[in-house]
Amino acid sequence: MGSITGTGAHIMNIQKTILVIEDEKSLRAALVDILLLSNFRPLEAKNGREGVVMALEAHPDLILLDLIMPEMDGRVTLEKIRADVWGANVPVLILTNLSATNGQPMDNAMTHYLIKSDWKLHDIVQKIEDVLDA
Amino acid sequence: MNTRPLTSASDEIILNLKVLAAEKESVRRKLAVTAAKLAATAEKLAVTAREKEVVRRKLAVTAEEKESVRRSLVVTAAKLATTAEKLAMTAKEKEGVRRKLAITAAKLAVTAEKLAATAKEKESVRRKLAVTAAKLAVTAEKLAATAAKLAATAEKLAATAKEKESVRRNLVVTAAKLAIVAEEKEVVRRKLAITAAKLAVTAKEKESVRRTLAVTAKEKETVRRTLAITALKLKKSYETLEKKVLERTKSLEMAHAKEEAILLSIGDGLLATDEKGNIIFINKAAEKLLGQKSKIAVGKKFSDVIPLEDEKGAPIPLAKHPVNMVLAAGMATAALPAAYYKRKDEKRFPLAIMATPVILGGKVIGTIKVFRDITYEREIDKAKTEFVSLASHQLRTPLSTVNWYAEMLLAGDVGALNEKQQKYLDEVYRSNQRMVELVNALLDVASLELGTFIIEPEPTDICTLTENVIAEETPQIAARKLKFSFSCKKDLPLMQADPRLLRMVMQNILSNAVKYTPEKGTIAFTITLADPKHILMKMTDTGYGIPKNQQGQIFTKLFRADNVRDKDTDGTGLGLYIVKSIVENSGGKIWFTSTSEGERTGSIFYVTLPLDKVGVPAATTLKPH
Repeated sequence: MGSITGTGAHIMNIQKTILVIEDEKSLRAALVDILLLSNFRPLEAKNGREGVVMALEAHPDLILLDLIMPEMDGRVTLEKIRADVWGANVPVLILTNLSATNGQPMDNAMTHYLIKSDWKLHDIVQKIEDVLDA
Repeated sequence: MNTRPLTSASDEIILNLKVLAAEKESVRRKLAVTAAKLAATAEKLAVTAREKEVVRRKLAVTAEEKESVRRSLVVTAAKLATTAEKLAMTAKEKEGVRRKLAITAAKLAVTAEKLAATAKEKESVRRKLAVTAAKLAVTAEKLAATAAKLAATAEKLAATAKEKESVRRNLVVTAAKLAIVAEEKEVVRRKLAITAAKLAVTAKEKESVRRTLAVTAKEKETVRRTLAITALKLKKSYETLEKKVLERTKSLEMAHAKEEAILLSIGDGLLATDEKGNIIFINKAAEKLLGQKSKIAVGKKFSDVIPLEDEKGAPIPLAKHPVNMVLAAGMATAALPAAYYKRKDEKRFPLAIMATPVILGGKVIGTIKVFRDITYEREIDKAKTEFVSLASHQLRTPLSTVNWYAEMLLAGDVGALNEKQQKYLDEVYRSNQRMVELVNALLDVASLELGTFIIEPEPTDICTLTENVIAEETPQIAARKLKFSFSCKKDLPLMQADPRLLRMVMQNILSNAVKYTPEKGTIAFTITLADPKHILMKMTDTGYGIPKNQQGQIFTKLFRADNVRDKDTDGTGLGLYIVKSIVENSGGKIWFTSTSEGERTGSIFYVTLPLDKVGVPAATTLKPH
C-alpha cells in the first residue's frame, strides 16, 4: 500500500452537510474528523433510528450509512429514508464491513456500496466529492 | 519791585500789568503747548479713529468670516452628529462581533478541549490497538479453529450425505435385485413347465419304445431295464427338483418379506409408483412425513397424495414434479431447488426429493422416490451464511479502525510526524493491510467452502476483464521492471461467468507470476480457445519456480513453497487454493509445469474454463481439501 497524501484544500465543501450513521464510536469519530478536515459539516447519528430522524430533519447533502447496527440496521434505515419524498434521491454511501458476497444489490443508482476495510478515509472523501459533483 | 515806595501808582500798575502780561504770556505759551498737545492728541485720535475704522472694517470682515465659519461649523456639527450615530452603530456591531468572537473563542476552547480529549483517546486507542492486536490474534486462532470445526462439520455432513446416498443406492440395488429374484422365480417356473413338457414327451417316447420292444425282446428287456433305471432317475430328479423349487420359493418368500421389512423401515420417506404414476408402495417414514396412511395412499395418483409447492406457497406444476420428470425422461432427477409440502395438519416443511426410474428389461416400469424433511439442513445452511457474514463484520471492524487512524496520522492530518514515527507507523499500517487481505482471503475461502457464495453469472468479455486486472497490477510490474506481454484471441465469444469469480482467478494467477518473478524477468500471458467450448489461459514466467518435491502441495490451503517464503512474506497461501476451487467447480482444469533449479527457472500455469457457466458449481458446496 502506497504512501498517503495530505488533505488538500476543500474550499467548496464548506456548505455541504454529511450525515454519518455509524454505531462504532471509533469509526464514527474518524469519519467526523476527516470530514471536518475536509471542510464538510458533519452530523453524527449512532444508530439507524437516530439517523432517520436526523436525515429527515436536517436534509443533509449526503449520508454515510453503516449496515450492522443496534436498534435499527442500515437496510431498514435506508428503506425509511428512501420512503421520504426528499430522501428518495439523497446520495447514500453504504459503508460496511459486511462481506459484499452476501450483499444483495442495493436499491438505486444513488446508493453506493463500500467495504470499510478496503477503503482509505481520503478515498472515501474523494468518493463523497465525486458523488456530490455529479 | 515793592522797594520803590510810592514812586508811582502807575508804575505799580504797569508793573502789575507787566506781571500780568508775563503771566498771560506764560499762560499763552502753556495754552500753545496745550494746543499743540491737543493737536497732537487730535491727530493721534484721528489716526486712532482711522485705525479703529480699519479695525472695524476688519472686524466686519471677521464677522462675516465668523458667520461663514459658524455656518460651516453647523454643517460640521450635523456631520459630526451623523458620524456619531454611525460610530454608535459601528460600536454596536463591534459589540456584536466581539460577542461572536467571544462565542467563537469559547467554541475554540471547547474544540481545544475536545482535541485534548481526542489526543487522550488516541493514546488510549493506541494502547487498545496493542490489546486489539493480541485479541485479533486470538480471534484469528479461534476463527481458524471454528473454520476447522466447520470444515469438520461440512465433512461429516458430506459423509452423512454419502451414507444416505449409499443407502439410497442400496435401495435401488435391492429393488433391482428383487426384480432379478422375481425374474429368476419366473425362470425356474418356466423350467419346471419345460421339464413337465419334457416328461410328457418322455412318456410318449416310452410308449414308442414299448412298441419297439416288441420288435426286439432283448433290446426290449435292456431298454425296459434302462427305462426302469431312467424312470427311477427321473422320479428322483423330479422329486429333487420339486424339493428345490419348494426350498427356493420359501427362501424367496423369506427374502421378499425381509426386503419389504427393510423398505418399510427405511428412515427416509420412500414411495414407489407404477409407470402411470399410481402409488404402489409407501413406507413408514413416508406415512409419518406426509401424514398419509399407506392403505389410503396406495392406488392413488402420487400428485394427489403429495401436492408440492414452492417457497412462496404457489403449487408446483405437475410437469415439474420429480416423478413426472423421471417418467418423461427415464433418468434420475434430483430435488427441485425448493419444494415444500404442506401436511393436512398445516405443518409445512422443505423436502429433498430424489426420484429414480425402476427399469426392468429395458423398460421403465415405475419410479422410486426417496425424500426427507430438510428443515434442519436449511437451518445449518443459514447458520453457515450467518457465520461468514458475522465473522467478516467482527474481524474487519477493528482492522478498519486501525487503518483509518493510521492513515490520518500518516497523512499528517493532525500534525507532521518525525521520520522514525513515520517509519514505525508505516509498518503498523502495512501489517494491518496484510491482515485485511488475509481476512478477505479467508472469508473468500470460507464462503467457497461453506457454499455461501452468491454466484451471479452474466455474459462476460474475458479479454476486457483481464485487461482491467492487468491494469491494476501494472505498478507492481513496472516496479520490478518485468517484460510483460498479453495477448487475447480476437473474437472470443462472451463467457457466461460470474465476473467476480473470474476476476479472482485472473488476479491470483497474474499476481503470483509478478510476485515470484525476479527483477527484469519475463511474463507472457495468453488467452486462446482450448476447444470450441473452453478457453485456455497460459501464464508463462521466468520466476523462481516451484521445487519438485513440493509441486504436489501448491494447491493446498495455506501452503507456501520454501523458496518463496523468504522472498515475499506477504503471501497468504490461499490464492491458488481459491483459484483451483473456482476452476474445478466450474468444470475447468488447472495445471502447471515448473523448474526451480538450474539456469532456466520458471513456471507455466494453464487454466481451462468452459465458456458457459463459470461459477456455477457442479455440486452446491465445495469439498474442503
